Formats: sequence, C-alpha cells, structure tokens
Amino acid sequence: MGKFEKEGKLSGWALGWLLGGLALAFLLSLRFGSVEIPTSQILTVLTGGEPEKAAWADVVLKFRLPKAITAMLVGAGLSAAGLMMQTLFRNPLADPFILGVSSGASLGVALVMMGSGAGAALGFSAATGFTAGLGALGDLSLAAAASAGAGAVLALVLSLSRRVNSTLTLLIVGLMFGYLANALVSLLVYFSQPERVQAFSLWSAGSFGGVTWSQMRVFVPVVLAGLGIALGMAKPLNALLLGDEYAASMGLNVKRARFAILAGASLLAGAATAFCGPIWFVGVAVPHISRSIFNTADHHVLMPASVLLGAAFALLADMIAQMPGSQTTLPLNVVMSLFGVPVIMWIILRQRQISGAFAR
Amino acid sequence: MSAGRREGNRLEASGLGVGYQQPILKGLNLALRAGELVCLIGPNGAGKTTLMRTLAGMLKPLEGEVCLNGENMSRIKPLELARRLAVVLTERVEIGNLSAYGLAALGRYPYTGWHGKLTAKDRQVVERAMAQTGCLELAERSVRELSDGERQKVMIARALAQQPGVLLLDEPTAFLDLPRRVELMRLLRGLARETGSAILLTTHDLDLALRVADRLWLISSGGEFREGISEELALNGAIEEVFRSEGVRFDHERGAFQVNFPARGSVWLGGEDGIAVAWTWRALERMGFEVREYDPRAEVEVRVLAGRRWMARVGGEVGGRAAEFGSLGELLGWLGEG
Repeated sequence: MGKFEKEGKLSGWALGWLLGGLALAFLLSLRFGSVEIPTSQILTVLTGGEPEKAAWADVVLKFRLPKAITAMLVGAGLSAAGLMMQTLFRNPLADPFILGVSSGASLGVALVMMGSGAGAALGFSAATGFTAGLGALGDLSLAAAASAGAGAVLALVLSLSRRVNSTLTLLIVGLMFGYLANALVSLLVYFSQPERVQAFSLWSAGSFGGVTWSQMRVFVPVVLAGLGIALGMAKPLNALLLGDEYAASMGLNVKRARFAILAGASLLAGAATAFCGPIWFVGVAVPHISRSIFNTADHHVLMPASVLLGAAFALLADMIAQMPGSQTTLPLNVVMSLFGVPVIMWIILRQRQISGAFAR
Repeated sequence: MSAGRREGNRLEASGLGVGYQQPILKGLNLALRAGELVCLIGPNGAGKTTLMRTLAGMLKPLEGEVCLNGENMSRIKPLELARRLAVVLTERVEIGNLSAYGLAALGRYPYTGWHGKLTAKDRQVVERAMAQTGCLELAERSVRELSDGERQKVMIARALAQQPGVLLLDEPTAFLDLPRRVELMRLLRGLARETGSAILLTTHDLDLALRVADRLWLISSGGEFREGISEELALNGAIEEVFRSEGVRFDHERGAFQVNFPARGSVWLGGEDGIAVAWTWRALERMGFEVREYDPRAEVEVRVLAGRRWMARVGGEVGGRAAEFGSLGELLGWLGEG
C-alpha cells in the first residue's frame, strides 16, 4: 500500500513552482510599465516609504498595484470558471462565457453607451423612451451596467438549471441567450454614432486597468467567493467526469452540484466581465495547459493549478500589452490571442489529447 | 468485500411497472438475492435497459416499488444508495488524462468527505477492487490507452470500490471479443460467490448467459416476463418463444441459436474424425442442407475420410455422381454447383 499515495493532490514541488512563478510575474508586472521606476523605489513604495519622486508612489499604488491584483484575480477566476464549464459540459471548447454571461454584460454596457442614439435612430417611440432612460444614467458606471447584464443572464440560467434535467439542453438554451444578447448588441451598434461604437469596442478589447480601489471592495470578495466555490467543487467535478448518470449513481446530487458550479462560474465570469470587459482565451486555454502539464483529470490538482497558472498568465499578458518602456498599450484580448495561441498550440499538439479529455 | 452486509444483499420489486411515459413492462415481481448472478435477456427494445435503470433507482417506477434489503428505494438517500448499489452502464467512457487508478478511485465517492480526500482505508479498498477484477497492474496507465476489455474491468473495479451489496451491469460484454466476454462473466460469477453480492446484468450473449447465470430473467418483445434456472427455461421452450423470429431458431439440444436457411435437401453425413464431422456439419447446415447422422435415403451422402479428405455422392449408388476432395472448401464448391 501507499503506492498511490501521491494521487489526488498537487505535489509540494509543483505548488512551489507555481507560487514562485506567480510571485515573479506579480513583481515583474509592478516593475515594468510605461514609466521606468527602479526596483528599489518600488519596494520603498510598497513598504510604505517615500520614493524619490512623489509621482512614483501614485503610479505604483494607484495604477500598477490594483491592475496587477485585478489581472491575477481575473486570470485565476476565468481559468477556474473555464475548467468548471469544460467539465460540466464535457466539452473541451467550453469557456466561462458559454452560457451567455459575457453577452449579457455586453448588452448592459451597450445599452448604456449606445442606447439612446440607437433608440432614436430606430424611431420606435417606446424603445426611445426606454433606452433614453437608460442613456440618462450616464453616470452609472460601466461596471454597474455590465454587472446588471451579466446578473440578468446568470439569474435566467440558474433558474433554468433547476428546472431542466439535461445538461445539454441547458447548454443549448444558454447559447441561445448569448446569440439573442449579441443580436441586440449588433442592433445597437448598427444604429449608433461611430464614436460611441468606438468606445464600446474599446470596452470589448478588455483591460485590467479600470478597477479602482473602491471598486475592489466589491470585485475582490465576489471573485474570492467564486474561487472558493470552484476549489470546493473539486470532488463533484471529478464525479462529473464520468457524466451525469454515473455521477448520480455514485451518490452525487447532480442538480444541486450543477447549480453550485454554474453559480460559481457565473460569479467569476460576471465579475471579470463587469470590471474588465470580456476577457477571452484565458478561460478556455489555461485549463488545457494545466491538463497538459500535470497530465491528470483530477480536479484536486487541476483546479489549484489552473487558478495559479491563470493568474500568472493574465499578469504576463497584461505586461506584454503595456509594452514596457513605451506609451502605447495594445488591446488586451489581442495580446492574449497573439501570444497565447502559439504557446497553447504547441502544448496541445505535443500531447494530442485534447479530444480524449472528456467522456463522450 | 462488504462482508457485514452479506446476508442482506437483496433487491426486490413488486407490482413494478417501468417505462418512460407509457409502461413498457407491467406487474413485475422480481427478486435478486445475495451471492447470485442473474442475466436479464430479451430481444432489442424489450425494455431490458429501462428495467435495469428502474432497479438502479435512476428512473422512477411508473407503478409498484423497488426495495433494497427490504427498504423502499425511493426513500434511501443518494449517498446511502451509492454505498449499497453500484451500476456499470453501457455507454463507453472516454476520459483522457485519468489513470486507471484514478477512475477506479472515483468509486469511493460516497465514502470520502466533502473534499474527496482518500484515506488509507479507501486506497486499500480501491486496490483490492482492482486486484479482484484483475486490473491492478493497469493502475498507472491512462484510461485512454486501455483496451475495451481493460477499461470495462476498471469500470467494474470502480463499481466494486463502492462496496455495493448489489451490482447492476448493463451490457458489460458489449464491446468485448469472445475470450474477454467469457473472462468477464467468470469474473462476475466469482465475485457473486466470493463477496455474496447480488449481481444482475443484461446481455445479448444468450449462449454465455445460459452457461454462467444462476438464473435468467427473460423479457419477450411483448413485455412478458419469465424467470427461472437457465436450463429449465431452455427445456420448457421459454427461451425459444422469446427469441422466435424469422430465420432464427433457438436450438434446444445445443443451447444455441441457429440461423435457418432455405433447405436444399438432406445430407447423410458420416465419418470417424469427430471434429472434422462437427465442422462439416456446420458448413453443410450453413449451405442450407438438413444434416442427418444416418439416412440412406438422403439426396446427398457425405463422408469424412481418413486424413481429412471428403467424399460426396449425389443421386444414389447407381447413376449418381461422386467425387473426392482435399478440403471443405472444394466440397462446398462442388455441392454448390450441383
């Protein structure tokens, strides 16, 4: 006995590497940015000292630190959410937004940004009245609008999940919600002035930089709650690897587990989208990277690994997007795909196991 | 295995009606007892899987009730049920990146705590289950690399890791070749005997079921249910009745299916070499001849000669034609022409 002792948990070594890598990425992302600040000065600011230039304190504390924290939380959250969705739907292409959470958030933001203009152009008096009302809430932050949109879709999906028996049906209905929301967004875009459309597309490009310390008070607890659910669902997720029926035959209350998984994933996806825009790619890619590295399907390993890797991945992507030393920043989603795709293609093609990752 | 529950492993149903909206089977009274291997057989679409699912508690009965050790199943909590009853389903499970051990260990689900951490005792149970099903040496292999037979063993080990008193398997032999099927059935019968669990399985393999099962449950396509000792059901014609259809017939004497071909006449077959005669018999039957051991009036006479040669004569001693052949193929070719 004892031969299989190591099964089912992240080894100390792996955990050390992941944490070390994450810490390094975190420090690097504080170190590099459009303004050059020496490492020693950054440490001075972080430990509460006075830097040589007063502006540096602001750059580090008001800009880089919240941005790094946001990136870590979003990367971790979306990776955990993606892993949960992939297992729940037994689909390697599933991502945190598969049930339309980000489409809902987009619709919320689109309504606020472009609603009044589009309503007028359409010439529907009722629609004009409705959207003008929303447009008038200009001071309402984008985050609130996105939260409302994401929350609405989330509530619909969760209430459905308690009624619908088949996970596949739920997936299809979720996809339909997504299409519907996207269609409405397209309609708004079609009838809006170019500058508003551009503002919307800027939001769609994603950014970790927009979260203020006061917004953190909402953002951090929500993401931590979602991560808590994700880590706590490792056992049911393992059972679900065999499909709903086997999971039920082993004593899992499938409906309840599904509800918890969807709630966790939607919280994470919703919070990320609300505060940072739709961040693609991390959620679908990082779980696959974890599977490849650790060569397991066990969520006791995959979940913590995805959380840590996702956080590091998002930090690195953001660092590249900032183009250290220059004043230009690239759209985050563009960077994720441009730099992330080759890495992931390499990892996955090397292993050739993506198709076999789930029960059919 | 679950020695403590040895006596109480029984699954019973009374007045059971199963189906989805409309009942497929009605008024069933069944009992599956400890230490017993029962095969559920019947033609496709007769409701085997539906009955199995109902007995497993995965489908609600339309009428009547299913009892596990005397307790109404619908009142047993899912986790408790999973400790007493395990299933192996037909669907082929494809999971990459999971070791055979990891798959079998999932069977400990109803016993582990909220986090699913395996204790030393859990590991012991998993290893024993894998040893019992002969797949312990596969433990570190990835499920993806396993053959169908190996995978099925691991799935059964997973079910055994639940330490169930009752084990239900839906078509466990479906994807396996003949030697693997025999091996699996032997294994299951051994398990029933050794562990005192009650095992029910559906199969299309009537031949094997007849040899291995302690009892058979028969469902006809009309929804009629019969049960009994295999040999008895063969003897009283129940099996023949259930499987009767165009072109297929259950042979009482041999306990196997026979494919009926349009008759081409009768053959008198003789010879000393028993094995050669047996296979010649089959070949001739397949061609549509009615083969007899002694029949001087048969249209064709075939003899197996020494040294695996064959002689055939058509049309009697006088005026008929005869020939000798070095192989069965030549014989059949010649008979086919005539």
